[in-house]
Amino acid sequence: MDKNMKILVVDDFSTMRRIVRNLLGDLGYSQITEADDGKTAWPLLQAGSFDFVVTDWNMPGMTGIELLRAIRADARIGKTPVLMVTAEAQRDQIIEAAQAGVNGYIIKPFNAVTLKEKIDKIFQRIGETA
Amino acid sequence: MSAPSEDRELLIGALRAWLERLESGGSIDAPPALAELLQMQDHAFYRQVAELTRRLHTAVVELRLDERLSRLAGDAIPDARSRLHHVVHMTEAAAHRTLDLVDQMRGIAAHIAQGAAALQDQGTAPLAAALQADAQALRGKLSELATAQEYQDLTGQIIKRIITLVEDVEAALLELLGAHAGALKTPAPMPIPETKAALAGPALPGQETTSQQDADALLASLGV
Repeated sequence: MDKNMKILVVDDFSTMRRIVRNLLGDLGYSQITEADDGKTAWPLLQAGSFDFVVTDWNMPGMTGIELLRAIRADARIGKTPVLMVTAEAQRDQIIEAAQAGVNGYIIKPFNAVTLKEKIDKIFQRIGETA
Repeated sequence: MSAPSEDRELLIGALRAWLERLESGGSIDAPPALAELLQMQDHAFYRQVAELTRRLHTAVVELRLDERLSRLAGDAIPDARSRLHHVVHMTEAAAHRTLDLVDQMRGIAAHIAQGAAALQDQGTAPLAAALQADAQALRGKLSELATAQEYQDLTGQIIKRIITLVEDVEAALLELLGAHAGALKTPAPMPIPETKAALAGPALPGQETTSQQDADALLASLGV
């Protein structure tokens, strides 16, 4: 996996953005950009060539599921892998995210091991289908 | 509505008299005594309705002008709201402070590792290895410490929901206060729109939720 890949971390809580950035840093990723909701993430995604998006679900302005749908509906960035990291632990929500085309789903609170596992799995799958 | 017994006797007597008159082929109009009785009953009914209306009106007026209600909508609820916001800010600041310290200690751990590497070059391998292991363990614990700060996001989300609820109650009270609300010192902002309240939010004690393992199984069944 390319440790230089550009990652966008989207969460309305600055604490959580920092934690995710820290964990990604521990895993060797350093090209990390932050956004505090879907609305601020969208122009960043349009402008910069991000390789991976880690997003929360429940955010003001534009939610993570809305962001995911917007990404999937966009011809240019539609294939960007998206990992949802959220406190939403309802079955319906997980199914909704899967149907919207999410690549991975982590329920908060989570730990470094889970994050690594999901990222590895996402890129292993992409490698298999590429 | 039951008439007092004397009214009842009078009514029965009047009805009997009317019936007798009808049977004997007299006028079909109610006899004056009966008409008077019925009118009295009507009056009692209307009096009661009027009394209820007056009491309802008084209650509504009193409610609108109730100082306690004004205080609640004008002061107490905005106060509760700002206290909750304060809790969110305090935990956020505390979590960031912890993360700052973790960052600093990471630097120290890296420094220890460098020192151990230097020792190894000088031929003190066992000590160097021990130091390396310590530095590694320290880094691992610091990472856990940083991750543990995610409580701030989760508790913050729960508190923000309560703030929304408080705002809704506040808006409802202000609506109830109606015109009187204009005179309140602190006008309240409109509550956050309901659209996102459909989400369940962080798991609460006693709530049935999906674990990461359940989620993984569910996602696998959906091909993710």
